[in-house]
Amino acid sequence: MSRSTNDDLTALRRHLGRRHHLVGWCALLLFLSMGGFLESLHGFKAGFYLDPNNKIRREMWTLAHAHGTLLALVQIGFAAGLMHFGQWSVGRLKLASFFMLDATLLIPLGFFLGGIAPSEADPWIGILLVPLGAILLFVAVALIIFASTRREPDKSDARL
Amino acid sequence: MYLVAALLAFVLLLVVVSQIRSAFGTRGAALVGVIATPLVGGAWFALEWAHRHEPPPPEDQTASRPVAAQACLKCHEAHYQSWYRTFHRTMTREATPENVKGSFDGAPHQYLGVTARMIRDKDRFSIECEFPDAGGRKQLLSVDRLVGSHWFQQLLHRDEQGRYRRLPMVYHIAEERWIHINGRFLTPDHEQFFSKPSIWNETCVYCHNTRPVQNPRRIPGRPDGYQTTVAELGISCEACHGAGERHVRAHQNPAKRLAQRCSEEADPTIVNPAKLSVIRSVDVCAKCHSGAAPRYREWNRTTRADPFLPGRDLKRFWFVFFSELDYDATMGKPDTEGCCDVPRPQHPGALDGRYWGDGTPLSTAIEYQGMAMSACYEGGHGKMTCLTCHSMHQSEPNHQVKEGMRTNAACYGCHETYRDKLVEHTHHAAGSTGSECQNCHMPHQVYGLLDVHRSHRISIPRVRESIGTGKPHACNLCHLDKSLGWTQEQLGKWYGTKPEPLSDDDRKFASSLVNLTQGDARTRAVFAGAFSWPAAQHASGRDWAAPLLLRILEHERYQVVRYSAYKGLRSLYGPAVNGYDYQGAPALRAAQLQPMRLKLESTAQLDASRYPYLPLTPAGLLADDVLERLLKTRNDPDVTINE
Repeated sequence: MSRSTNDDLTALRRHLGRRHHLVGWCALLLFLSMGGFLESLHGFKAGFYLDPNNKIRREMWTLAHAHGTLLALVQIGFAAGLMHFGQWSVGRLKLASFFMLDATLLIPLGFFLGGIAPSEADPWIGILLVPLGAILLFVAVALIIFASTRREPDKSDARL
Repeated sequence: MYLVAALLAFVLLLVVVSQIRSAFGTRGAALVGVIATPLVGGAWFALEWAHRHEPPPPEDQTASRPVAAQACLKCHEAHYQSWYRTFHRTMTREATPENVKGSFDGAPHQYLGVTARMIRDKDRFSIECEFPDAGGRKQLLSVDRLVGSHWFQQLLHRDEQGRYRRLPMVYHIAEERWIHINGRFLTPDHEQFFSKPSIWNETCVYCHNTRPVQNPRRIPGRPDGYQTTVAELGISCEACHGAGERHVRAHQNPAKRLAQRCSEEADPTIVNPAKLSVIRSVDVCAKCHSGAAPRYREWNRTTRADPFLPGRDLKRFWFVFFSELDYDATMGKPDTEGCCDVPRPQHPGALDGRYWGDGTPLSTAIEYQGMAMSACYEGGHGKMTCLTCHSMHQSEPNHQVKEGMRTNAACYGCHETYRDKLVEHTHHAAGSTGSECQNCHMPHQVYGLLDVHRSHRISIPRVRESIGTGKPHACNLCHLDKSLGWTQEQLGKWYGTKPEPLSDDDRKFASSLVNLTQGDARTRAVFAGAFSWPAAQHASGRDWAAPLLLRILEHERYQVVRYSAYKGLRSLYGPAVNGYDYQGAPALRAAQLQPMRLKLESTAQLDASRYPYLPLTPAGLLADDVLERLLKTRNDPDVTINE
């Protein structure tokens, strides 16, 4: 690997690390706020959320909050590890980053939309975003694992 | 919605592809696109294809695998929960500690000299009967199954042939007491302890359970046996929605669910009674609320599985009767040809069992006939169905009347013009009981379950329909102290109706008094029941009923009428009339009435100007000679109503 390519990759890692760090904390703020909002719905015994007939809405929005919060933490973890771990190529890193961001958006959004106008048996059609987000997350995680398991180039080679 | 979904999918695809392109260039994006698009699209296409090529369900689904309510719960939780609250669900139950209502504490209950004890041994229940005439012989019968959970709970004993036989003791839930079954049905007093021993497999099974299969087993030289099966004890989902197997299977496909959600069409895999035609919708309820009898010609005679499922023509498989005469005539010929309505007789007999002389149903469980005879029903070509006023899922469990449908709003849906001329039409103050449409057009003329109920024949109350028919007039069920002549006079003044010839007694004396003394047991049961109605007590006065009801109790040979009259007394006088057992032996009852007479009759000095239609002595007491004369001319044939 040439020195310029290495520098490009390091710059990209730093750039994406910052991006995921920012997105992670923003998402955490958003989904913690959503948690607070859902708690307040409990506090005020809001019928559109708590009535037995609205069980699917309650379940969907709870899942949106939980998945959003968890994925926000994953973003922060990814950002923290990006500069230190993994043997990446530019293409794979970009794709893993895109898909991580997509998943963090699509999965909670899908759950949230699914709870907007559910039928008795099923969430609203917006729930279809969830499997799509899950596939992207799956690919992103697979890429991270792939990058993590690749051997780092021997530093002594560089000295030679 | 499909368009929105497709547009969204397209946008997302573009975003993902552009991201791949940014990472791996155009070739990488194209490669992923070429692989991923057919994979995802193909998977969805396969699901779509599967549901679009699902063959329509066959007309006859009696052979399909039954689906229990638990299977419906996973998708229809709200409907499951609303059904779960109903008494339909608990119509038949196994005799388990959580289902048994009465106390099995071994306390003795005496009737006709027999001592019955309800006994519990851990989780098993039984009845022990001791017969003094047979040297104290005891008989122990296990209680295996229960029928009813709302008004009464009847006990069933399973014998070796698989027959569930009804036991003689019944738990009366409203009164929280055990009664003998002779007091449960309208029937004259008799000396049989083991009476009305119905076999559940033959009678109850078809209306009190879901998808019953009788499975008779005839073994020469032995009593008939049964291997009866039901999809579920009690009335559950398939009883109203039809066979559910295909529905469950089809809706496991998410593409089917999405397509159904986007469609305005009824789901062909299941029946929604609200989306059926009026006649087919009403058939669903009429199956059990019409007292129908099977047309075995159309049945599988080996299994005797009920071939009627919601959506099918009820009258193809069941005879629906509009009078006992029809019933007797048709049931004598069990394989009668034809599959359409049994013709209605114009003039049913005056003692036509479950029908008043004008053809109006008088007992519960034949509500369908009442509605079918109503002008509002328009012969099934109008809009009105059972679901106009009732609902399984959006109602209180007691009578399953929809919210708001107990008020005049129920009628304003079609008769809007009466909203503004309510007082003018009813001649009663707005908001009063007399201004409620149902009290005149659906009066409490129906007897059943030791109570009176609203007639489902929505009709104009005409005096001529109460002459010689036994049917109490709606006005006189509230104005108990007024005569039929008074009613005729008022209706003439208000609506210009033509007067009918009336007997002297009908003109001079309160209709309740005339009918309680002279009427047959069915009329007496309904009038006696009216005395418990707070609206009637308010309209008629409360101080004159005791002497009349006490007199009726002295003479009455029907337990049901005794119960109703005593219930009226209790609601009027409270604890002052405690201590009367309508099932007690005659001598015991007479002794119990004595202190009540002393307490109530001595204080009942009535004002003749306030009660012009009561036969009073100058001292203000009910004239004994008149009562005696009326009682002597009582029309009192033996009548039995097996609701």
